[in-house]
Amino acid sequence: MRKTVYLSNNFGNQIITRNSIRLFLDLLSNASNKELILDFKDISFISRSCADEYIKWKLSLSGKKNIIEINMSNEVRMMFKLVSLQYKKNSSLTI
Amino acid sequence: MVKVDLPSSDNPKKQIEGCVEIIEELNNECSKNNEIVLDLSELKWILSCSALLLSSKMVELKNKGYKISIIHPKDINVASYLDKLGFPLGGGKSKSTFMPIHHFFRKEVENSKGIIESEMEEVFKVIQQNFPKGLINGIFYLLAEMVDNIDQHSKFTQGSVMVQFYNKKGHIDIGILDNGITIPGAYEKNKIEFENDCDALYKALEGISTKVGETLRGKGLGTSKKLVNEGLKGDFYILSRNGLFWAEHGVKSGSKLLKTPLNGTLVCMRFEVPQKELNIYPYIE
Repeated sequence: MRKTVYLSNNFGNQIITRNSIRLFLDLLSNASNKELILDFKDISFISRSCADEYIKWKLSLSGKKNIIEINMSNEVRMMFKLVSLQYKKNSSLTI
Repeated sequence: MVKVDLPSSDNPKKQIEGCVEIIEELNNECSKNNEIVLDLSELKWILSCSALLLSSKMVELKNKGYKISIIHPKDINVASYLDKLGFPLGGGKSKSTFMPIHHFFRKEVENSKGIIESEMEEVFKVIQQNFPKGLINGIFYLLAEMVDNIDQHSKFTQGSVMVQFYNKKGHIDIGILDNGITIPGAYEKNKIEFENDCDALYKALEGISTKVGETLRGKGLGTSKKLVNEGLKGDFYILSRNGLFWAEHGVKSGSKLLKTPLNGTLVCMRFEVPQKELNIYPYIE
């Protein structure tokens, strides 16, 4: 029931546009696996917009799927941290 | 024949304004002729953002079936610079710090999925390999936000990007252009009120998004301006339809309504390479 997904296979080294990550994440939402391991190896950059889209997606799956991120670079981790903080500032949502 | 006569100054505002007038002349020429001649012979100086605007127009006309020809600048330095930029049609081979003008296209009925990513792959690769290491994340941020805006809002059929690192002068120029519905046009479409096209740009910079109810949307333009202006102590320009906005480092920002509109949006940035590594996060919160 666990599935590992390598993001670089879909995006190359950078994840740039909302449209492309949304389509990718929609496919993962429909996967039957309860646990998804997203491997960020070789992803050197994620845009703020895509980090925002990812966090919204993860929130929407809360309680339905277990999402685990591995091999995140510092830059990617920092972008997620920044967008998460913006969510916390703007709402009471827990990331 | 359309003669290109741009101000011989390093002032992007004047050059951008001049280019919009030339584009208008080209449009008028199209209504009379199938053959368009762009005369650059007397050109003494051109900025990369001007080259991007004119190149985009020439490519558009070529794709519409017009026969285009160029009279090259007599000034050998200007001619050589335009050659490095890949003028007039873009698409030249990247040479370390020079990423020639690059045009990309989308059919009106086509979903843009993956177009931007694949088109930007080479650009990002050149930057990663050749640009100052401490700046790469910042440049990626700026490019990603701007091209995602094009992808999300503009309904473009033609986009253009240009990134130059002037190693000796120690500064970087970035230009991103699309032929989409423009920022004021997107607001009109979504019934967001504004006084004029400059006001629409201020609203976009403040983060007024066309995506209603999503508080974290619409941040790209404002955070990019802040990063360039405050983080990199550089200059930031937007031209969309009739609105021209500028934020030059150390000078009060301003705007001007141009008489002639651009059918699209241009964002230009110029900044010096900082002495130490740039931490982008304080500027994009």
